[in-house]
Amino acid sequence: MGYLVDRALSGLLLAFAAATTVGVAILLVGGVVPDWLLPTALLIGLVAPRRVQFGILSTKANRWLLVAVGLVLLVVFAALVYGALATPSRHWDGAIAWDLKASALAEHPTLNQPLFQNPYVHHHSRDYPLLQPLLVALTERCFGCGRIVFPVCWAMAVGAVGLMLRRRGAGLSAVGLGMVAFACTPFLVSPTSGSVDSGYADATLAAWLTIAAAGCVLRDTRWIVCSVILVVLTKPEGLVYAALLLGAAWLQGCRGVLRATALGSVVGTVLLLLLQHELQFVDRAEPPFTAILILIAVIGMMVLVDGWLDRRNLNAWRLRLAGILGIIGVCVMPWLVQACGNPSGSLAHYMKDPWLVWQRLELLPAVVISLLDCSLLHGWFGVTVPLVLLAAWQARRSRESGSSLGTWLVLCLPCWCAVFLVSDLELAQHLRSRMPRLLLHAIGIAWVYILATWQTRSREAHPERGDRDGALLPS
Amino acid sequence: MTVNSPLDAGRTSLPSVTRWIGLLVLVHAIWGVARIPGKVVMRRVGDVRDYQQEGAAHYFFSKARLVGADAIAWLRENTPEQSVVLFDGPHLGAMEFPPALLAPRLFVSIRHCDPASESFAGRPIARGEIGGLRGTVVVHADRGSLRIEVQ
Repeated sequence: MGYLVDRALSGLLLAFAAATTVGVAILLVGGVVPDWLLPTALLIGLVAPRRVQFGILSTKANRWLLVAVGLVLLVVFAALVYGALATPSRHWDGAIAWDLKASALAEHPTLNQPLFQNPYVHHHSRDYPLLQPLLVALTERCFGCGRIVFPVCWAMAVGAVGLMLRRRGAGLSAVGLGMVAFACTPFLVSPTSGSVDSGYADATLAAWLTIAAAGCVLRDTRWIVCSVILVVLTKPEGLVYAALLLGAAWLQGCRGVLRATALGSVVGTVLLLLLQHELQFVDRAEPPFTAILILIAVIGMMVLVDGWLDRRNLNAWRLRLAGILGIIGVCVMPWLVQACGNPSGSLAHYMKDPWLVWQRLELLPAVVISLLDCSLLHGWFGVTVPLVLLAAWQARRSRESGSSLGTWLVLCLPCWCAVFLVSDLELAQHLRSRMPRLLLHAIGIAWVYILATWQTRSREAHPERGDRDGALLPS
Repeated sequence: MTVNSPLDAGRTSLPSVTRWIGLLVLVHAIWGVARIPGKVVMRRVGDVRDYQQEGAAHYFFSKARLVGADAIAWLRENTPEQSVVLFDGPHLGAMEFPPALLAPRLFVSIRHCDPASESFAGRPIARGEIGGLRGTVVVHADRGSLRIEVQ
């Protein structure tokens, strides 16, 4: 069963990454994305060789618990499929931005149409990445149900969480409990702006980030590379999350994660920069080759320096070097934004003047209060935050069970705060509409971190239980 | 490491923290499952029913407290799909909806296209008749409302 789920998840992930990467490349050269691309990618993904190992189960799982878990996941999946297919997007951004692009690409899967080519045609978030609209459009053209992509992404994220536990030797009861806990997180499955079937790209981004996090724990190169490509090409924020994962892996000296993330980041970001440029300028300006070369040089340098520090046993220097690199990065950011060739773009809007953070530091308490309010008081994320804190306490001396995930989560916090400090939007309204969706992005990372830590420590604390991992689980 | 070192203290506390994590995972899962019938299923069914009964324009405009759902309906009935509709006013707010709800029609500001023009980007500019007056259809928008005029 675990093998089949792994096969299906890895196949879908590879297919989505391959189809959208090739699809975006075809869009960039002005071609028409062929209808056979997605089915071919699915076929290749499903037959691509894969070898994974699962822990041996030494005890029986509670059969009724497994039946209940299966039923719960089935009911939620059915509700999400119904919500996704019964109507087009029923929430603001889903309808006005994402659906519009998806319907245009479903009609003509090319950028050679006035919506994308003519700068005077009203087009919301013109330079946003096209992965989600393209995936929805290709699915619509092939199978007639494009929006099925949304619940499928949710199922892939839930599957990744379950496989992460199972491949680390967790018992089936713990796997089931972990999957249900993550899958039913209120903000993810409620019919609200940003949830799975809302049409927004936030839940899709969260799904790819979940798979990337599970890949980091399992050291699964395919999962990390594919999901990082998808992360970068789904939303502008994806570029930041990929950079943060690179930073976290570098700080923790996780070489396998660093290299896989570096590969995914380079592929995704090169396509993203070229696509953003094409959408914004349509051949009216030189593509951002300087920015692309800088990006490849910086990422390549990170990989090389990581190996050098490791060989010389200079790991204590990582934090200092990262600090220096961070300060240099902030200083050259305005120039880098110009070099990216899209200074009026959606991401550049937040990056062109990083010193605004210092000038508006008096707004920070309001942002932090909103962060705590959204994460703790409304019940949107259940008890995820207390669990992350407990897991961090538990894992404080461990370099195993996803220590790069803990660093990744910590690095997200200043970035989330900076978003609100550098923005010109009215703060209260911006916090209300944006903060819950930013938190949603990291929900899968948080749950993979919690469950990986829990599973590792339970196994250490109860070695006599073999692969049984939850101290609270029924026997 | 001595018996009384902090590391030892940490080790002895491991199972209890693990137990707390397990308990909270269970609480989170029960919380999530308890919300399924009302918040996940029935509220979703209600939203879908409202959308289908009211139609997309009325659904969005009433939820967002905007005025102009009738303008969307008028445009759908009176302008060809493969046309360009001109608008006047800010492109944020109420004007964000017409391109999505009336696709594949394209929307262009009158700042970028003369209403007297016959076509834009290879498509005809939408013309219509309101109150006996015939001319180019222009959607007048402000942040909270839409209305149609012919010029």
